[in-house]
Order: sequence, then structure tokens, then C-alpha cells
Amino acid sequence: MPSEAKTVLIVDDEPDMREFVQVALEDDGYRFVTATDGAAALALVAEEQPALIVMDVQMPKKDGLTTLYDLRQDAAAKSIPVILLTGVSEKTGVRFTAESVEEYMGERPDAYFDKPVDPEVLRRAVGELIGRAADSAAS
Amino acid sequence: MATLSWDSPDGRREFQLGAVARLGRAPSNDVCLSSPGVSGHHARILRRGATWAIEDIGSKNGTYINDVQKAHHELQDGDVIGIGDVDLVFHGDALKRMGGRDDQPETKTLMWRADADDVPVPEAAPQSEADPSPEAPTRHATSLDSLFQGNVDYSRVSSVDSSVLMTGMIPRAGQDPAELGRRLRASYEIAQATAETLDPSEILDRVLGALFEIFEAADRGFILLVDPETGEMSTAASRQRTAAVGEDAGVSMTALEEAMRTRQALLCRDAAADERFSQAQSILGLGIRSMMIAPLVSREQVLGAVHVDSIRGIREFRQADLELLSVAACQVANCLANARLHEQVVASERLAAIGQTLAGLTHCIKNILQGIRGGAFILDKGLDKGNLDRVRSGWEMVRRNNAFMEELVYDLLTYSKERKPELAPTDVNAQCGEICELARERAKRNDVALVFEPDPALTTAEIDSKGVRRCLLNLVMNAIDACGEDGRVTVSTAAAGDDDLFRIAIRDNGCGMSKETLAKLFTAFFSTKGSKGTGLGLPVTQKIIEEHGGRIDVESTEGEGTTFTLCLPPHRTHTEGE
Repeated sequence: MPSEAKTVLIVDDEPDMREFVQVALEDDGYRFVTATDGAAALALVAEEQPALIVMDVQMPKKDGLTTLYDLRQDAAAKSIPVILLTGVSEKTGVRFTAESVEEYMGERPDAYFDKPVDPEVLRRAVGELIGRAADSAAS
Repeated sequence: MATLSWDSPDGRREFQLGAVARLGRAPSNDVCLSSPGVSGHHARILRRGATWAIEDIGSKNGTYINDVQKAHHELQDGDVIGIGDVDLVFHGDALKRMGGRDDQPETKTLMWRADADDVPVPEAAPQSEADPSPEAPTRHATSLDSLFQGNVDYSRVSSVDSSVLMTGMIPRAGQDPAELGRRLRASYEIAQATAETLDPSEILDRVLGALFEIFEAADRGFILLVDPETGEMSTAASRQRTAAVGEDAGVSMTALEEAMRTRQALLCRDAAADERFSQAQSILGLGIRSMMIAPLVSREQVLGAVHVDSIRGIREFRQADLELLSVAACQVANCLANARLHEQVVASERLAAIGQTLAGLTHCIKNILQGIRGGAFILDKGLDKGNLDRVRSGWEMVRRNNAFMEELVYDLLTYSKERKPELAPTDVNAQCGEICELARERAKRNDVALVFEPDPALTTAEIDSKGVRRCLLNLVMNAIDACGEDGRVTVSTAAAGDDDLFRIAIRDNGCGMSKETLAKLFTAFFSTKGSKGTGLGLPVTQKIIEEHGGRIDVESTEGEGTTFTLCLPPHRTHTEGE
């Protein structure tokens, strides 16, 4: 176990979703910080220095895609892994993928999950991404 | 004259083409070809005015024009016709250059000239030199079609333009002014029919009616249309002068196909003398004495044909009639083409709407599924760990999302069908209070103050309480969701004033709406609420209120908040049908 718990930032306007993500990850020793929209999340990033961000796409004020773009333009935050969760399909009529988000926004999330999200899949992805980020920081 | 030439084992051969030449192995053919690969009755070459066309008549190995297999082909000078092992060369003729004058003596039978080698192409060239056509080929030249043998009076009208339109309208020597008036009225009726409706069957019925007005000789009229998908022809409209007249009789497919293939209207004044049709299908057998057929052509496409015939006497239809029929056909064809385009547009719009609906629905359902699955997961976790709070939290999530699903289904049903509100006396203030209680949990979770200000003067009203309840829940929940910090939602009622409408207002101090959002407010599946919105709440609310004969007023200022006011008649409204 690392000496200090890694922080996961959960960004979703829906309280049920925030709770779900938290419960899905709770056994892995993370510390959780939550925000209800993209603007609030950006404000929290510098202060909390999360190891990973799990974020909804459709949110009031600032949506997940714009927030992802803003994070990647910020030198201090650009290497934080971002997982997007969404039920969006109406814009294209097909499933969005990490690739299609990159095409659309110019920035690519580290993982992209379509709702309903399998909690085990989410947990594994979070673990892998945090581990990988720690490795590349160490090397 | 046009000729065919080819090499046979006996040397070079040449044939003068007349009205029709049959090619095949059988001795009965005009051009008998005994080579391998030639069918007994292989193909025929028909003269049409100044041109010749070859048709394969069901040969086993096909007919090739310049090495390309063709079922039908209009021959050009120098074309090589491949039949079995034989290559025949078509040599165009002088008649074509003369503009298809048909007052030349016809070659009615084909001359089999085995000794053609010594006789170069006869007469044709000198004739064209000696007898240049005194007139240019006319748009509606009366041309004795060589396919009709004997004394057949047979006319065609090809492309229709305004000058043709006029010839149908302008009185001619001996034309009865009363008849002209009738024709004008009928033409007007055709124009009206084609302008007033997009329903093809209505157009066609009215047009046939008008044609019967115009043509007194007409005993029967048919409009046949080609199915755009299958290419099959069927009768789209028909009319008989009297019930007793040849209802069972069909139409001459040979003549129809001829008109459609050549895109020319045709007039047959005396079917009895028409030997051409007797070969394939007897017009006389169908009881037809005289007939006119005009193809329906629009934007280069043959859509079908109009067929008008007479079974009472001969020489009933005249050239001017054919011209008028062509004008009507042209108008009908354009109108049909427009109607089909319109249908396509409507169909594609419907598909787009279905696509949008499905995408919106999918989004809603996925979010509800996420809620149910997420709730069940939290519940399981709570059970595993013996954590009752978690069990309760997960169970609440499942229940809430189950309720969302019920609401979605209710909204969809409400939105998608015409329904009458079930009006019953209802205590409006009590209902509003109940909604506020229901919404209190959500308000509390979102840290929003929810205030109810009833007007004691408002008593009972006849409303569909289930529907209005849905509206109020939608609006109050929306108001709570719109609030930010220090959120406040006020629900107030007001008894009917001068306009005899009582009011329920839901006011929030939330983010307000932009002009763009306001414009799309009642559009189905439009939502600003991200994963929480179905995009059906407001459209359904509007529909329910309008079914009551009421209206919704919306006032919104960005950054200050929004007020939705339901204005409803307190008593049963007397709408149509009551």
C-alpha cells in the first residue's frame, strides 16, 4: 500500500452516479473528491491534485468534453488520466468511443465507458490507469 | 431505304428493310440465318417513322449490338448486329435525313436479295436528292406509320410544348364555339385537379372526369402507371361512360407499350384497319374501335400512360384531340412526379423523426438502466458488508429509477396519442400541496427551499387530476433542478380573474434560460439537464394543458430565474364534438 491514498475526482451532476462510482472504487483505498460540473472540477484539480478523474459527459455549466479539453491544455493537469462516462449516443446515432471523442474534441480520454457502466470494468480501468501513471512518473 | 448486309457461306448478302423484318433460323423469317446460335425466331427490326429499332424476341443466345447484348436498340448507321455467329451491318437510310416524310410509297414486304452484291443500294440516295423535304419535320407531324399496313389513319404527337397547347384551345374552321367552351372548362378542371391535391388517386379520377368532358367520343378511359419499384404496369384509374360499356374489356398492351417506349402519343382512328395490333393482341377483340394513348412523361421518366377509347363508332378522335390529350398527360405526369417527390420527402422526414425519437429514448433508457444497475450494485455491496445504510441507499436508487421508467412510459403514451382529458372536480390547492410534499425530498437533496403559496379563493376545478399532477411534478422538479446556491422554488395558485382562467405558477430563482433554449423548450427530446432529462417533460406538459383548453406562459431571465404559469379553465370547456 502506498503511504498516501491516491485521490480520485468524481465529476457528475447526478448524486446517484457519484455514489455509484465511489462504491465501485471504495475497496481500493482511494480518497474521493466530488464535483457536480466541469467548472467546479477544474477549480478542484490544482488544489486536490487527483491521481485520476472519472467524469460524466453531459453536465450543466461545463460538460465533460469541454472539461477534458481544458484539462489537457493545462500543463499541471494534462497528464492526469481521465475516464469519461456517458449515455450520449444521439449526436451521431452511433456509440461514441475514445477515438470519436478525440476526433470531435482533439483530445482523447484515457478510457470511455457507455452507460450502464459495469462497476468491475470501471474498477479495473481505474486501477490500471493509476498504476500506469505512477510508473511513468517514477521512470 | 435502309439495308442490312452480312457475309453468308454463299457470299455477301444484303437486305432492304421495310416496315418489319423478322430474323431467325425458321424459314418463315424475312431474314433466314441458318448459322449456329441463331434461334428460330431471334429478333425483329421495326421501322418507326424515320428510324429503325431492333428487338430481341426472346432468343436463346441474345442479340448483340456492337458486341453489347441488347433487348432493344435504336439502330444507328454502321451498327453491327450480332446474331449467333452472324454479324449484320445496318446501313441507315435517306428517309431519316429527309425528316421521316411518310408520303413515300411504303415497302410493305421485305425483299430477299441474294444477289445484292451486284446491286448497290438502290433508289434511296437519288430519291433524297431529288425530293428534298419541303417542310421541316414538325412537332406533331401526321405520319403514317409504316408499321400499319393498309389504309390506317394513324397519328402521333411527340414532345408537347405551348404551341401544341394552343392548338388544342384555338377554335378551328368548323369548330363549335360551345365545344371550345367545354374544352376550356375541362382544361381548367385538369389544371385545378393537378394543382389542388397531392393525392395521386384523386388527381387521376378528376383528370379522367375532365377528359370525358372534353372527348364526347370517349367511352372508356384508363390511366395506367408503372410501378417505380417493380416496373409492372397497373390500372391506377378508370372510367366508363355508361356502366354497360365494355367494363370487362382490357386495353391494348401492345399500343400502350408502343406509346411509352417511343414517348409519343398515338391516335388510332379505325382499329379495324389496324393490322399491327392484330399481330400481338387484337384491339377489335377488346371491342375498341378508336383510341388515343398519351404517355405520362416527366423529367425524362415514363410514369405510365393515359388511354382513352371509343367502342361506338369509327373516326371518333381527331388530331386536335390527341394534342389536347398530350397536354393533359404532360400536366398529369408532372403532377404525379411532384406527388411522388412529396411522398419521398414526407417519408424521409418521418424516418428522421423516428431516428431522433429512438436516439432520445435510448439515452433516457440507458440512464435509467445505469440507475437500476448502480442501485443494485450498491445494495449488494451493502448486503455483503452488512451495511444497512448502503442497502437502503442502493434500494432507494433502484426505486427512484423504476419510478423514472414509469414516468417515461407515461410520458411517451401521453405524448404519442390523441387523448381526451378525464375531467373531474378536483381541489387544485390540495393537489398542488401534495406535489410540493412529493418534491420536498428532491428539494432537500439539492438544498433548495420549496414554498407553497395557495390562493384560498381558488376552489375546485374540473381537471384531469392525473394529467395535471404530471405537469406539476415536471415543472416543480425542473424548477428545483434549475436552482443553484440559495435555491428557492415557489408554487402559487390564483383563482380565475377576468379571463376566466385560474393559474398555477412555479417560480424558481435559478439560472434562467437563453433565447435559444426558450425557442426549443417544447421540442421533444430536447433537454438541458444532461443525464437527468428525458426531454419529454415539457412537451407532455404542454400537451396535457392544451388538451384542457389552457395554455402555458413562460417568463425567463438568464441568471435570475424562470416562471412557468399554467392557465386553465375552471369549468368543462366545450370543445368540438361535445
